[in-house]
Amino acid sequence: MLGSYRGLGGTFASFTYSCLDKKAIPGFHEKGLIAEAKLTEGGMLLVLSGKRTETELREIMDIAFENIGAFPGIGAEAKYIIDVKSKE
Amino acid sequence: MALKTSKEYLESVKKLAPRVYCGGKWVKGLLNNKITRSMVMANAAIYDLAEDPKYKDIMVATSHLTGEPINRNLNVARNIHDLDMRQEMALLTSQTVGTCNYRCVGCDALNSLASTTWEMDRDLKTKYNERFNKWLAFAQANDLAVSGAITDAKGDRKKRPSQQDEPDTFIHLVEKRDDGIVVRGIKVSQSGAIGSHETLVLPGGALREGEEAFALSFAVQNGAPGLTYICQYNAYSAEREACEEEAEIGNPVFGQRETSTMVFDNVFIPWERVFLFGETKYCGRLVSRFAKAHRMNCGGACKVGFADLIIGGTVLAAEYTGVDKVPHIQEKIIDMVRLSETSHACAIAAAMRGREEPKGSGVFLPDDLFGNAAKLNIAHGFWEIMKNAGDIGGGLVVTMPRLKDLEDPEVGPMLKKAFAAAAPADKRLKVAKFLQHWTSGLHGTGTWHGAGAPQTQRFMISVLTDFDAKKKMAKKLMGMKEE
Repeated sequence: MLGSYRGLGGTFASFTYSCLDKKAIPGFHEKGLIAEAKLTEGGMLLVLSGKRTETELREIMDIAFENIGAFPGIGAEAKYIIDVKSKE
Repeated sequence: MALKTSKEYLESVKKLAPRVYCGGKWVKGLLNNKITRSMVMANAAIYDLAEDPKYKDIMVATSHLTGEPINRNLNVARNIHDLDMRQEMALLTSQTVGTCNYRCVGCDALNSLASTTWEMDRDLKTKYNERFNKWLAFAQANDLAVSGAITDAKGDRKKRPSQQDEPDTFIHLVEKRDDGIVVRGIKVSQSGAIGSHETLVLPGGALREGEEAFALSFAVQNGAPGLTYICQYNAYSAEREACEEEAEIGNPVFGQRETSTMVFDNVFIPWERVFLFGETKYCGRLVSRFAKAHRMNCGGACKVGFADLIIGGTVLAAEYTGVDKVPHIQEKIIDMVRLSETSHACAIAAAMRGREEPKGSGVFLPDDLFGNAAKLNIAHGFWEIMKNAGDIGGGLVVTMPRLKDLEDPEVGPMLKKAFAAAAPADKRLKVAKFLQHWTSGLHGTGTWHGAGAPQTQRFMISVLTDFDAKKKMAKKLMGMKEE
């Protein structure tokens, strides 16, 4: 899925802490949503549990970023790339 | 986008999913829960005010960082006019929503941070002000609703933060990392974070050497994992949940003041959002500068807006009952105006006598003495105002039946006969319900403690008043020689 978000410096760190240490996606409180999360070179791989369409994944990320203080934005080169996938 | 519309704010709230517990259940959608929705609608109304050309001078300022128009709730006061418009905003917002402007504490917190981070950078060669300004420019550009959290749970008041059996009674550091810090602890009586985008967290008071772990100030995204909000719950909450129509409630759309207990369970804060880290020496002045701003705004303007609403309701009650020409009723109403306008005069004076603090920072803060006088005056005056509203409103304010019962085919005609006076029963009951909301609810104690309990204002007034100068001038006039 493709989508660009802009936030204050440290937003990516907030997001990765949530996913890696808290095992939670901002804005989602149910347990087990994250099947796999790991840092990659220049970003992060995030695999969500269950079978989800690209539209659903995009909706989840929209909510996640809004809750961590990043908003849809284009124009600048991406500093971090988050690869979001559905487990099934 | 420098100014959000209320529609855009409400759209953003639909995506916000903070972990909120309210009245025995977890809130799924802030707009789907009757109680949290009232808070969100109040915030939306504040966004609306900034869109109204009539209120542009009050609600819209120019960012000193970008030169762009911004909501005044995100403005750093740079002159006397800014301070004056800030207190006018507090008045206007209270008159409009009859509850908190939930961006108010955040506004006063960011002004204190602008001043104190500048001072820290000057003294300590830190980069807090630069960091804070980046955050502020981001908040302004996105017109974020920013609330403020100041009061720690505090635990046993005889003990210092580090001596508490339960360390979470104060926000404190858990871990220092390369990319940020991890914090935990509890803030209480927090207004409106649930429907805000971010919250500025300040220490709850002055700290001493050795208490560095508690010396923290930061901005937190309200959806940050680890953060839980437990909403206040009282009879008015239950009433809102139980009512068939919001029109039955005293303040139908915007409700009572909604606060929550904010529990930080290992919440990560990136360095970019940390504005004070361990500098105990600056905690006292950070909090006192916040209080200085907030006492002018909360005490001398916000509560005056509430008083305007109570006075309006009281005059209507007098007219509807047919006692509006009675001399002692008129006298009591004039007393209500005197009490509230005295506080507003103090707020205006606090703004007019405001000054740059510290020198060179470019940040203007109100006069402390007038601000404290405003708050102390309204803390006492508000009870008097409520008393007179209850007096003139009559026992009906607390003995009235349910408004909706007027529509009942059996008891409705009885109630209409019983309560019609100089106006029909529905008008009398509606205004009685409005006064019930103000006189028999949360506002007395809320006004007493908001911006600090009166004892803190007495302490500040005792510190700020030059009693020696007063003694000297008295002695001089008496012809008494100096010893």
